[in-house]
Amino acid sequence: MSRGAIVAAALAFAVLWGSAGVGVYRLLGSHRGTIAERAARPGEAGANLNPALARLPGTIYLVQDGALYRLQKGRFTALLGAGGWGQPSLLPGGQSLVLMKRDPTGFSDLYRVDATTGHTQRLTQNQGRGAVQGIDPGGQLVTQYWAMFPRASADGTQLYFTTDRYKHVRCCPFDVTMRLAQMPMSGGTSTPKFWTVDGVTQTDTHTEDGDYAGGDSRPVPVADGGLLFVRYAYEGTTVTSQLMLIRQARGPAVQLTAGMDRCDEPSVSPDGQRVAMVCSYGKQMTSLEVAAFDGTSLGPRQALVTGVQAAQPVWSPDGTQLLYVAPVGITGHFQLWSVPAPKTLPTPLPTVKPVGRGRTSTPTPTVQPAAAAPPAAAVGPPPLQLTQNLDFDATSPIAWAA
Amino acid sequence: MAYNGPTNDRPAPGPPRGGAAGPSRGHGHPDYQPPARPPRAPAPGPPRGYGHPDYRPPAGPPPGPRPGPPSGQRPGPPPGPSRGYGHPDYQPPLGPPPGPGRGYGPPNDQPPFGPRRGPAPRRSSRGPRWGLLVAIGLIGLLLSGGGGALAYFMPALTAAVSSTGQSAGGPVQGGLTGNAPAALPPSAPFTVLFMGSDNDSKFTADGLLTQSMILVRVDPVAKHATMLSIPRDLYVPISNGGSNKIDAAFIRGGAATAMATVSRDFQIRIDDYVWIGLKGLVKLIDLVGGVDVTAAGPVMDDFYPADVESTNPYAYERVAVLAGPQHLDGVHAMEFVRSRHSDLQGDVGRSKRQQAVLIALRAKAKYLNPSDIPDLATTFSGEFKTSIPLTRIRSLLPLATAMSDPAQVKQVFLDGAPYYSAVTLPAPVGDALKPNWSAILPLVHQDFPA
Repeated sequence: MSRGAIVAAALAFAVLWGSAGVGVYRLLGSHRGTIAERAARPGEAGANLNPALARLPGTIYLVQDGALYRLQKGRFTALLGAGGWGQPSLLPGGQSLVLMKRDPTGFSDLYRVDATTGHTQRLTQNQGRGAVQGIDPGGQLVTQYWAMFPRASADGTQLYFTTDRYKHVRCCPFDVTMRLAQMPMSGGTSTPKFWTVDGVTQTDTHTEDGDYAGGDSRPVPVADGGLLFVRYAYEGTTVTSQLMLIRQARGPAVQLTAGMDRCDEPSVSPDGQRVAMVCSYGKQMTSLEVAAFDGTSLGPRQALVTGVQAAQPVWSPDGTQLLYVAPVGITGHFQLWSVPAPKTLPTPLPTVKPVGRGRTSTPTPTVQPAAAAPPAAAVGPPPLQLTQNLDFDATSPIAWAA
Repeated sequence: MAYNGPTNDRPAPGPPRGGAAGPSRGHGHPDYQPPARPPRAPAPGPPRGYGHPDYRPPAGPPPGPRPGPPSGQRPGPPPGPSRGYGHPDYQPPLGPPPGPGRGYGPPNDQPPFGPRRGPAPRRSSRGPRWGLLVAIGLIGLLLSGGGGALAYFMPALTAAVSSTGQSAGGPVQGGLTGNAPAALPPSAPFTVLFMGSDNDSKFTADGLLTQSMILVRVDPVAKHATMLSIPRDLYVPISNGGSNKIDAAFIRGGAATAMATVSRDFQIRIDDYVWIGLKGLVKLIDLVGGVDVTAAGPVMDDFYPADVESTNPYAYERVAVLAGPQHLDGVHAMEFVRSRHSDLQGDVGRSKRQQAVLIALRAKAKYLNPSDIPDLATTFSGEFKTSIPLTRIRSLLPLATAMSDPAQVKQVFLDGAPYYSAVTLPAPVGDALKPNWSAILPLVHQDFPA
């Protein structure tokens, strides 16, 4: 055999062995778990969608990775690119939205967005304006604010939201308690009108130093001009959340659910007579529950979905079904689901008795006693998974326009 | 197959002897040097081939000293340092061509593997040489494939050596390592002390506090675990002398002292420890693609330490982790478990969040497979230490898979009174929690036997 053939054979061996080594390395690498697999973006080619998505009526607005997406006839389009956007809510008529834009430096502002063009208009100014001497070692931390969960009034002139704008930086800078606020939709005010203060007291006097639990959040305007909202508070040493109702600014708030049921994320049906929510009962899993609402109190709750981390229920414009997000598979990304909504629900209890909270004794509805577990799920059509490999923001409400 | 080539691990008996019974040894090595003696004359008797299964007895004339190439063939190289290529059927040995003095001998020499006693016609040498090449190729493939696998798992092996099986003096009971049986049967319940530390640039490696301490008792048979969070500010006797907040035990003597302190004060047996640094937790959660948790309330903190991704370890930032179910990446999960300024319960509230993330992590970890181990090891580089040996970790992985029901995990908290009361002690201790052992111990011993 010639020397050249020998060299060629040696090279062949070298290539063969090298390939084998690299091949084994890459083969092992290709068998890594899909546990951290990146989610597809709505609208991109790899998005795995259920054809049933096309049968959803109207227009739906959802958030993924800080971008706002519009879903129409089964197709997603990006209305606002990734930029900290979240918590969309419709203005009357459905032609505009209000939503939150969260800045990575630690504040958020509210914006009005044209639902067709994506044109934005800022409504709040929450960026910091300098340090507070002796209080603020980080610089502008306590002079910038959060504004979250915007909702428009029925006539579209007022904006309700959650904020920590009122702070007690001189006494207790660690206490970041959220409260309900109101301002004109046109913006232009630096002092919103507060509906609740501290989630504990009815006045601006900060009396509960360090009693932080979250405060009041997620205002939802109801028919008579009041607000349905969520209060995070302590019962003993346990953080609870409960649905509350307040009829006027600084008025007494009444509880609609027991604190230990940990109900949150209320969504009022288009007819205003039903409320959907998620309740965790202190567990990591939640249940999607619905109850009749007569403007004063809730009826017995009925569970539609249990044993998952369901979040952000929203009613269809015709009130026949609910959308929500819940994680699927090993990635844990939240996907879109639908479930039929019950047409009839047990009516609220007629008994009304005072359960005072605040300075005045106010008639309040009877609240169902706290339960250790969700009510049994109603027998009905099972939930339908609508997306497979997306990753919706489970802390961002969903908006659904007719 | 008689020829085993270089994979044969039996010692070479000496210079090869052609036709010797058993496999030929050592000939495949590129540095092989034949004996200096002349070729032997063919031995009488049936020819004994090269051992290759394809070997066929020669049909041609017996081999012998060949003064030159056959007619019509190219002449081989002249005798000299690179002798051995002259034979027209010569096949190169494994690896590069032999250098000076490493050939198979003179041009008329036979390859030294295999017999030389019987007739060795031309054809007889071709078959075995191809067989040898195939064998060498296969062996090379195995070796290179093994090398690829070794390279893939090298980070894991390195980390396994550096991070697992750390010495902590063995199990401790009543604060003393000698009190506990050294080893438990695999099915016996065991207790692990999980510790987490802020290990950013504010701290030196030997000056870490354990801001998070969680005792986990696992019953492999019942497939049940109990988690107990220990308040970091609990003012307790330290096992190697004096009293301090319990999170300072780690500074006073590392994991062994922390284990001994918890064991002695809580009067329980602790078998092993796991320590993880702050960045390790972030990387781990990102490695598993984030965790799903349900936050009971919003976690909002205006003075959250911005010491992980900031150049200034003393900087602060505002964080807001909203309430409800959500998917958290590493950074946001860390914010969720680390913030305590915003919690009425301070460290206890934080402990509850830590347990929630730990449970969510366990739920995700069961989907990891062996190919994820190198990434895991890289993630944990310098951020993870445990006294649990690697073999034990491997045996525990199926247990993590089996415990998928949240009901299989019991969470226990020392939730304020009557378990402790707040006290202010002279500097440098400052604000601390004074334990009420008569309330703590009965609670702890319900799940963690003494």
